[in-house]
Amino acid sequence: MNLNTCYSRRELLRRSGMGIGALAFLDLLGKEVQGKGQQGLAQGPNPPTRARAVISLFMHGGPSQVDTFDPKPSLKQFEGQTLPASFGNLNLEFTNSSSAKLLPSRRTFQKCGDSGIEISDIFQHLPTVADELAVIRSCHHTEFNHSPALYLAHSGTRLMGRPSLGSWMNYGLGSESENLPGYVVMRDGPLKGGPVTYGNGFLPAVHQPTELRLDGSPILYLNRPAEIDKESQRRVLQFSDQLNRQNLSSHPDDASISARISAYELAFRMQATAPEALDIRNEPEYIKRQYGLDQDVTRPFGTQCLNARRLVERGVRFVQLYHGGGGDGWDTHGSNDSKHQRNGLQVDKPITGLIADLKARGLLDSTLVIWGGEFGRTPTSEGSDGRDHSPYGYTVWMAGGGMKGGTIYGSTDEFGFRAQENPVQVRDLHATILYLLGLNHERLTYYFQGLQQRLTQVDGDSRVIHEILA
Amino acid sequence: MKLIHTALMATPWLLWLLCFKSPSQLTPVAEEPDYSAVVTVDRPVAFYQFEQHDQSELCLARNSAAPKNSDLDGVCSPGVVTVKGLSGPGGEMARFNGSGLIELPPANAFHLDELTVEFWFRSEQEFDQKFWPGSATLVSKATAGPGSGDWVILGGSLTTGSNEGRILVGVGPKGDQDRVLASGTGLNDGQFHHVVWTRSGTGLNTLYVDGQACATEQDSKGSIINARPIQIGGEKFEPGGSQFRGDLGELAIYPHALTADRVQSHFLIGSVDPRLPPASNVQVDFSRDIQPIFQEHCSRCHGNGKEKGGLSLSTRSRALDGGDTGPAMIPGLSSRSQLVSLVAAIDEDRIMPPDGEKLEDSQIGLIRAWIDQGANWPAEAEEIDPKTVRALEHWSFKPIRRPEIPQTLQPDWNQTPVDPFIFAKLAANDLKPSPPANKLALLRRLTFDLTGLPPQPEEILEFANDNRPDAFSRVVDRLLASTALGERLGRYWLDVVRYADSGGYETDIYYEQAWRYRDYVIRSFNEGKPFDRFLMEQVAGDELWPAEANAMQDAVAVWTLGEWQNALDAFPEELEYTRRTDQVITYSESMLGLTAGCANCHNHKFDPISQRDYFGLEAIFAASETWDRSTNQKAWLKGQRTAYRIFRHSEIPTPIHLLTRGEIKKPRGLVSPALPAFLAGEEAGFSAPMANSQRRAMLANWTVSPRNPMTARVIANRLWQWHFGQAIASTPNDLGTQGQPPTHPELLDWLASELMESGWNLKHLQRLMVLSATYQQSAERTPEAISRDPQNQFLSSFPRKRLQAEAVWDQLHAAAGVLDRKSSGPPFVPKLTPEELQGMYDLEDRKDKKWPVTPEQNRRAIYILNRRSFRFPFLEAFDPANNSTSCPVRQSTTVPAQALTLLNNDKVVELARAMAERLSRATRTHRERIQLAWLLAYSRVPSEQEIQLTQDFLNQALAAQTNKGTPDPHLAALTELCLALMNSAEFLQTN
Repeated sequence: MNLNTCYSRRELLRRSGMGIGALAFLDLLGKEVQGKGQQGLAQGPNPPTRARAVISLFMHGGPSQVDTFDPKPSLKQFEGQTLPASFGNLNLEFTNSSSAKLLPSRRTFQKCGDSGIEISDIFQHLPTVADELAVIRSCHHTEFNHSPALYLAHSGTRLMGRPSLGSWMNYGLGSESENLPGYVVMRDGPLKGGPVTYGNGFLPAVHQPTELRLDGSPILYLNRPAEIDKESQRRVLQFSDQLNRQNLSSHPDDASISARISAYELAFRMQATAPEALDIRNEPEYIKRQYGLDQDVTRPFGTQCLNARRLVERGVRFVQLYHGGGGDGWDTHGSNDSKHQRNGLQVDKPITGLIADLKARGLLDSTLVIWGGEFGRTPTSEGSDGRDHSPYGYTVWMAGGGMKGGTIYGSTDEFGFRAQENPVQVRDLHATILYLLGLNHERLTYYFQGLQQRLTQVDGDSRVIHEILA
Repeated sequence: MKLIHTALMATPWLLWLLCFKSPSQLTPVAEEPDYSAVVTVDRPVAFYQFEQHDQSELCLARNSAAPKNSDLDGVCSPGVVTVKGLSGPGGEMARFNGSGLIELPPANAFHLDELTVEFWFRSEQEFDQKFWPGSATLVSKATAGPGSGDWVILGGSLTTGSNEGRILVGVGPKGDQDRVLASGTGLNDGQFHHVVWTRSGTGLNTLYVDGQACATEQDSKGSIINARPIQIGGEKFEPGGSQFRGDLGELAIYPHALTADRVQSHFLIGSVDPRLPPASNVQVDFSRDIQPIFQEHCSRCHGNGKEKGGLSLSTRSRALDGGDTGPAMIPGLSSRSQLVSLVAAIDEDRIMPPDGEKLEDSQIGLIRAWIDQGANWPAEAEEIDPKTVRALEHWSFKPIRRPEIPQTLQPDWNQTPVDPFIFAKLAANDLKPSPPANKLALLRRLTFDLTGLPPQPEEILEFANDNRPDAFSRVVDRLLASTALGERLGRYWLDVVRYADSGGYETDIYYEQAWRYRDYVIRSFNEGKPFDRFLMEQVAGDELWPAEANAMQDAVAVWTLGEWQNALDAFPEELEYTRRTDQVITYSESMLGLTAGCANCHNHKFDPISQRDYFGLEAIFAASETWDRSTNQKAWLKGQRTAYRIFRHSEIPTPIHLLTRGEIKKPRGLVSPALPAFLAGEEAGFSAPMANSQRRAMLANWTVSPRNPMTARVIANRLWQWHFGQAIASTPNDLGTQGQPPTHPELLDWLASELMESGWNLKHLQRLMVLSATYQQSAERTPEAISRDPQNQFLSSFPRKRLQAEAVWDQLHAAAGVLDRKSSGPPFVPKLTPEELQGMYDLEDRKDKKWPVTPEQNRRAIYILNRRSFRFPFLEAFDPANNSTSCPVRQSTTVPAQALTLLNNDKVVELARAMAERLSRATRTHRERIQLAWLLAYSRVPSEQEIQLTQDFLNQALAAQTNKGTPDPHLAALTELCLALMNSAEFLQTN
């Protein structure tokens, strides 16, 4: 039994299995009573909603900012030299900031679009949508190891086991789809932080992510096992439903029975709709080409991106994509340049295709697209040609969903090491994202362990970055 | 009313005030006290203020404690010059360039076993060696060899090669080994620091830096007298003695040990900031002179119930407690009171008030005078402090008193003393109890509640046919004696202590012996170990019962079960800190039901738990450490996948400091081990000296003491929750002011006192609960009851419960007849498909090593390998515990993932088939089959209608399977039936 003594109306609805339904949650906001120590929703004046969905393109491993979106010509000038003593010391995982040598980028940067945003040549197609991007160059934190940095980027602290952005969003807004979960994850390999990285932490299980797989069973246990055929399962479900309804009529007071009936109905519908949602065979050829599905190198991530668009169209609120899981991904401790080129090849066309497609369908204004990793990389070298982790100044860009496209916000120092102008903490990013979704980050709270917990941390000084909003 | 610990803090300052000022001088002071005077008052045998030679730059070391007598004057070698010193002590200091030293005469006056050496210094030299050779000599009276009767004060490090910048004191009493005291780090930062080493007549050594004790060490009391001279800045006799580069001055040597508050005074007076406006020359009246200032300039943020930065200026004790950055004032010492330096804008980044008018010098002067005069604050001028009031009135902080059992109008409803309490509340809320539950529903409920398993068909039939009046009570006895009991209760306790078999994060190190703790827990519940003993064994079994050390190892291992952020291995101090934090939080939440963890970074905003209380608890755990027996170290070795973690006493307990905002780099004073002051009262501070190996024993004894109002309530509350599905106070880890109040406070107190009086006998309490009429009620709810009491707080019927994740697994296996009841031993690892393993990350990409499938596949779920960095899909679907921290209550949700798991998980289908085979084997007719199926799935017999429906279904299924050409269509049809039963709501429920 859930032991909170006061259910908000939303919770009652959710508990009776209708949570993933076509209810307009937005008009429930502000009408719920937030009792002391109870779960609550964003209460009081809420920001206007600009985005209703989020597609997060997470570059696992940490992309190098000076090789992607933050050109630093000074690196060429001072190639091979160590940082001056006045630079101070920075904790790094594998290298020593006082003795590491500056390593220039081998990439060339172009000023792209009308706005002139610089993009490196690992992205050949992205320049065509440069005017949609709001590039934040001054992101920073202090976690230089993968797991804590991953947890920080997703859940706001470096601790394991706390709810991720997708779960918070789901908690605040629910799903708009009757048949699909509100928070979906697609990966190409396991993450260093484990599945806990994108989990629901202490938020109720209904806010857990649903992992969609692109081969085999789309959702774990969605497909029947070999020995059960379709009719067989249908019989099982029908009989079980009969038993449930018998049960219900003998115990009309038991709300959990209806909830379970609904859960099965939804699961049944998901068995049909999830494969349908992920069935891209009927997409026009030009769309498939636009996402790069016609080439081996871009097909994996392109498939993820195309599916993301389809899911958003079908009412899924938060789609979290990962590129670079398993293997080294963006974690280029060696062969930084060639691996970034490889990664660029894999994601460039799909991402561009996604943004262009969303725009063409009129979805870009209401869909927030986020690109970034758990940290950036050092402008100094590791070994002869690698870069170490660097959380002290890295780039995240966002597009659509109320962002002001064609802008650059913040900057790093001359070498691209530390965030300098307008530094942006992870919690500021989170506050801004929630804001665009119509959620007040200070009021979206959940009682756990003696505190009204928030994504942006109770003691935080998080701010919404209004300067980059349209 | 004053809280005890603030009284303890305030007292030394008043004592100082009285000691320092002779009666005729108890008038307002307008000048700063003089440093030399304060040194002289303490009667040093020698005091060197290092002056410049008249005709050269050279340094003179004249003993100003005896200016006319040059017996104790020192000799400075060339190369030692003087420089201007601090603004406080004024005067000059000796500057050492690495090649000179000062030598004092080897006079009898310096042959001291009981002494204090005090000086100020500043340096930027690398202090990176552990003793000689290499570390910088500050002051020494050294001889060769350990235990040779000598002492040294050096600038060095505890890790050779690492520039830690510590002060190291070495004391080598004759016949003893050399003892080391080490300060904190970073003292070679070019700032002035005050260093004092005292040795008492009983061989107790204390090192103070900047007025705060940072290390103590008890030596054997042997003599430390030797014939060598005291040398300063260099050491020319000892091989390896090396030179100091920096400034040193105001060296004083006393023939006795200065007390802590004298040391503090010396420091504070020596570091007065001249920018402070002078204290006023008037007799201050708080209400007339000070309170108006507070009200006008401060109360917007620090009064009227507001506590920005944790500081309230509503009462004297709150002001002394201070806020996130420490006490606001030190009575008698305005020059070092934080409040004064903030309003005087000494630090331009921290000015109070932050906006609005700054205080004028005259106002600051009044505040200084008020503080210097003792910060008198009449009681009638104190504002109401909501926090103190709340604490005094809070239910769980009051002693447990056994209440009267209420009289009720329906006494024959009562079966055990639990019932009148429930009935009284029902009546008060216009509710009635429900009739007794159906016999078989009751049996299912009870069996799951006590064992986590369904009743076996024979047990069901036996109970159904047992019409003796004590039939139910016999079942209770049987179940309480079953070994499955420990597996059910043990799982609840494992939730509460955040049990897992691995460390989480990227490396997810396998805790290869963690299962021993799990076995210990299960065993303890099975054998009915008194709960106080159970807690004591975990907190301090190794200290309290050293003869049973091996067995006790399993119990204290609970403190090693927290997460392991191996990324912190590069910062051992921080890693240890996170471990201690985990231990204090786990202890306080699991056993005391308090959120002491909130006080890690600031005084608790709501409960009377201060940062000092929190760190006092850390200091208790700081005498022990988590040790890896497989690698014989604490740190992680590259490539290490498993660890055999034990909890044992450290050689040297880590000194614990109060940390501003909980930041390890911001220590602000040594904290002794202590119990939470507001709860422990006079027992709060441990009487010194206390052996380091007894700190946890003190904590254990206090935890279960009859004077502790929390512990018995916490476990009584949990036990109720574990049987009734909802706790009496619904936030079981927080019985503090922010937790939910109990729905039945008298019942809870009665249960708590009954528990204690029964010798903390859990099974006794369990009997009182399950044999009660309340427990045996039906689960049906009437519409009136639902509308009057939607959450069923008052228990007008028994709450229906969905089975927890482990019980779902166990019931599936039990129904299939394949449940392996093997208990104890290392965890087992179920097979998983590549799909199910997809999300698992392994540092070496060796999923087979991280998830090494075992031959055993069908044990109870409590024995499944529990890896923090992997979510076992089956259990994950049914709301398992989040084991990052203590989990007092699991959620119970209904989500589609559960449906999909039960429909399509290969294992479930396999079990459905096994159940079908069992049905085939055990019965002959369809009817029998259906009856057995119902007994296995629902613990009851089917109605005629149900039999008919099922018959129809089976026929349908059989026909379809036959048509399809399935080899064994009967079995296939039965499998469908079993799968349908497993997927029905009733399967997952107890009513």
